[in-house]
Amino acid sequence: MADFAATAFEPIVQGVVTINGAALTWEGVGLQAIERLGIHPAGVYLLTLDEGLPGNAGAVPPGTAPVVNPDVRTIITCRAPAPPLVNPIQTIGVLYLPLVPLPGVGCTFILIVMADNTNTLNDPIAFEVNVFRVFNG
Amino acid sequence: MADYQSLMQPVAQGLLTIDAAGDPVIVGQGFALVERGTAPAGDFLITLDSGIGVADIGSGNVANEPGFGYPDGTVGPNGLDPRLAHVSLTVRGGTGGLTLGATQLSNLSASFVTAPDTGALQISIQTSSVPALGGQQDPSGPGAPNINGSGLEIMVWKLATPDNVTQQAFGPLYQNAMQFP
Repeated sequence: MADFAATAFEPIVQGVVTINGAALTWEGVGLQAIERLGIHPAGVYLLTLDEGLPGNAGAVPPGTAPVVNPDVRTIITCRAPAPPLVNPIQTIGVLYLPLVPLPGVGCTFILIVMADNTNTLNDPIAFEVNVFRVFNG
Repeated sequence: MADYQSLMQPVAQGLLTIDAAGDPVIVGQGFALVERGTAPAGDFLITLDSGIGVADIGSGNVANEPGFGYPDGTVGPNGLDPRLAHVSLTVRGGTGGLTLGATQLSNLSASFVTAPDTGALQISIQTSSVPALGGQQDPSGPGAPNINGSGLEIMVWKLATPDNVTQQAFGPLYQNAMQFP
């Protein structure tokens, strides 16, 4: 049924991750931590949402499997510091992890995975992260 | 002259997945229908809700610009002006690939399908990996995530007015193109 454009995007996270070797630097709002995940030295990032965001209040349900979460959307854009440096990233995946399966607590972690044109996990120079909560009625 | 502002009006958002029967499904708002295009996989035709461009009533007779597939230049109440509309596509990570959350899809594209006197009523979306990894493929498996992902996030918004910029033929700005000693 037509809803006549009655949708809204509510920004909950926006900022830039800058990568310098193993170090990750976050400049923005909405995250309390960003870290590399486990055994992967490059291309895998675990973002922890600030407490009090809609995700922490159950508005972003993580589900029982790392698949369908209908209430959040993410835009990732790679950055490069200067024109001669080409961004090596070819694929980007985002996942909302149910790492804290507490009743009434929503998704508090976002996993971002990047790979290059050899299908190998790799880091960009930097990347922008924008996360929106959406409303599906 | 710079106007230093832009109004972003959300018009549609959704998560495109593939159900157990192999058919595309969208959970979200602003979309009326999703169906497969001409290719057997990685090709989707999404129809916007009626009235999605209601704010465009009366804005007709915009210029016909090459590259936008916009032959008539009139925007009706049910269509979007493709010059002012924007689409964001993000792959939900999958399973079975390099690691949890990775995807093999590297090429994502969207194009507006327009109709005379109406504007854009549909969006065509293609998802594919490089040929060595299978080429055009869906963003998830039937009813479950796969090596390509667990769905495709789609956001559509439009701007209030154009503020177009093209590369200067002579520059910098405010310098005379011809100077004499």
